[in-house]
Amino acid sequence: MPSFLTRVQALPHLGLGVSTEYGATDRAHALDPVALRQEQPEYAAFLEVGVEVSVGLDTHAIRWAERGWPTTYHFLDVNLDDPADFSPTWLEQVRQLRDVLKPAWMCGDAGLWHLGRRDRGHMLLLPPVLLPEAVQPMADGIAALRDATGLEVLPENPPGAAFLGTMHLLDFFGQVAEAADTGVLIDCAHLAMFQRARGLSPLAGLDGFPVDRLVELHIAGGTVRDHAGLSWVDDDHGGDVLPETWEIAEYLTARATNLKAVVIECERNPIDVVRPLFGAAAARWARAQT
Amino acid sequence: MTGLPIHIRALQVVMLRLSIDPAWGTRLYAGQPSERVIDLSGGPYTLTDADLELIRAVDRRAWTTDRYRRARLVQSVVQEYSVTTAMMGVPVVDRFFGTAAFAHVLGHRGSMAEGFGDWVVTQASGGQRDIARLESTVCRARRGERPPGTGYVTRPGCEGVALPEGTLAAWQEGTATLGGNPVAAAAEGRRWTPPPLGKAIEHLLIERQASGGLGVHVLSAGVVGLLEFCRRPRSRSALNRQARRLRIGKKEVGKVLRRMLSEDMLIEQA
Repeated sequence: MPSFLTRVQALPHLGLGVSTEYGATDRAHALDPVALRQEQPEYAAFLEVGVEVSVGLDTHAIRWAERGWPTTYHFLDVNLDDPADFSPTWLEQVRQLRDVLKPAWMCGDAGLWHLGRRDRGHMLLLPPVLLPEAVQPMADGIAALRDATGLEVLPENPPGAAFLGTMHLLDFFGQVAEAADTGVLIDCAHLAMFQRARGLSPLAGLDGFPVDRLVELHIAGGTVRDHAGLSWVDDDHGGDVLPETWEIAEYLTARATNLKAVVIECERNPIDVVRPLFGAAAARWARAQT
Repeated sequence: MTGLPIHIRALQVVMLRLSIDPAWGTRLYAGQPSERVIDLSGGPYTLTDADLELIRAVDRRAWTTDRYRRARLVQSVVQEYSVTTAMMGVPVVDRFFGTAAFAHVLGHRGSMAEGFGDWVVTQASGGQRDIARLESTVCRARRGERPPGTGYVTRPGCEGVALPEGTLAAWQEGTATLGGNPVAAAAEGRRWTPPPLGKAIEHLLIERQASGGLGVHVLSAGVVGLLEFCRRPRSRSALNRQARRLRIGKKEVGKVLRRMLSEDMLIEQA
């Protein structure tokens, strides 16, 4: 197999997109991706579909795919470092959903998506243990999923307020990407949460990160909250993007030569609230490319 | 795939438990020796001083910024154990998440609902215990999970259980009393007391049906005993011995097993 930096040239340039998951569009005041695409196609060039296999796809995602519009498959139900999660049944269901969505690639937070075994009520999301010994098992999982689906699998840095381990999140994911020979997805809001939790500046650790492996960015709103005197960021996907999230996004868009897609995660908000986010992201990306 | 080294798995369990059980977190951060032992499949792991230093480097408050995480887990259990919750109360469900039984679920790739069922029957007595056992059996039938391994195993989706006469009817009465929204009933603090159960024992097969519903059949004590025994894979010789313990006649064992296999109650797992 050619190296990722060769393979990435064959991946499509998707542009700006929106995210969704089962039932998200049906909630009150939620973003309607189809309406956004009809209103401003450049803001909804593709749909990132959050998929929990046991739940499947909602009619909105299916109809989007039936129109032949581009998608990406964002997994919500696999602990990549756990071989037991790769059951033949689950993999077969993933392949069936892949055949419906025809995604450009798979991606998803590379952390703990569930406690215990995959079961109802077990879903949560915690970041990986940031130690060198945790790198290779996660890389193995990425390679296994890529082999099983025939799609590139891009690990995403998960959100969190507590990060256990000595490594910087970017060093961890940089090493995972090298070990799996894959691309990465950086969620700028999640990275800002990490930097804040560690007391680091927004751009700390980015200088050593393999930005040529960066294929997709996420930008999302967040809210600073207080918990027993501890300041932390709630990744609420609201309309207010924190300044450090924009700072990270600007840094990366200016350097990521293989960046193919930017998702504005704002699925719980009406179009009017989030339209400025798309405009701001588009302007920054365009500026970075010139 | 090789999987994670044991100490990384242990640290994952620590992260999960810290985010769900702050009382345990207090004891761990204080360095209580008993809390340093992490229950994992493959054997216990004792957190080293270096592990503990790593954990303590994280502000303890950061683990519980999601204040509703535990409440969501409680809600998930309540949805499946509506009658047990109405008999024993929501605080009992919540208490489960601070027990070694829950820690076992985390370290053994277990099921929260099944683990709760196993634990709650040890907290109940009399009719409450019997109804909790039935609700736990229903929960297992819905999941249809079997551990890997070779041998004879009860077909996933089938569960055998022996209960006092009237348990099923009492559970159905409890379910009907609580209505269609067990979480709302629990939030309202609605309680339910089971009627007295009979003295005779009923031997039931609870079966998940293709439609998603459940079927219930009354079978012999021997067959139901074998179904319970074969929740995990068993060798033919172990099955024979268990059959004899269940007082299935020596000449009858082969016939019973053939019937169970032909009726798809038992399967041979390769």
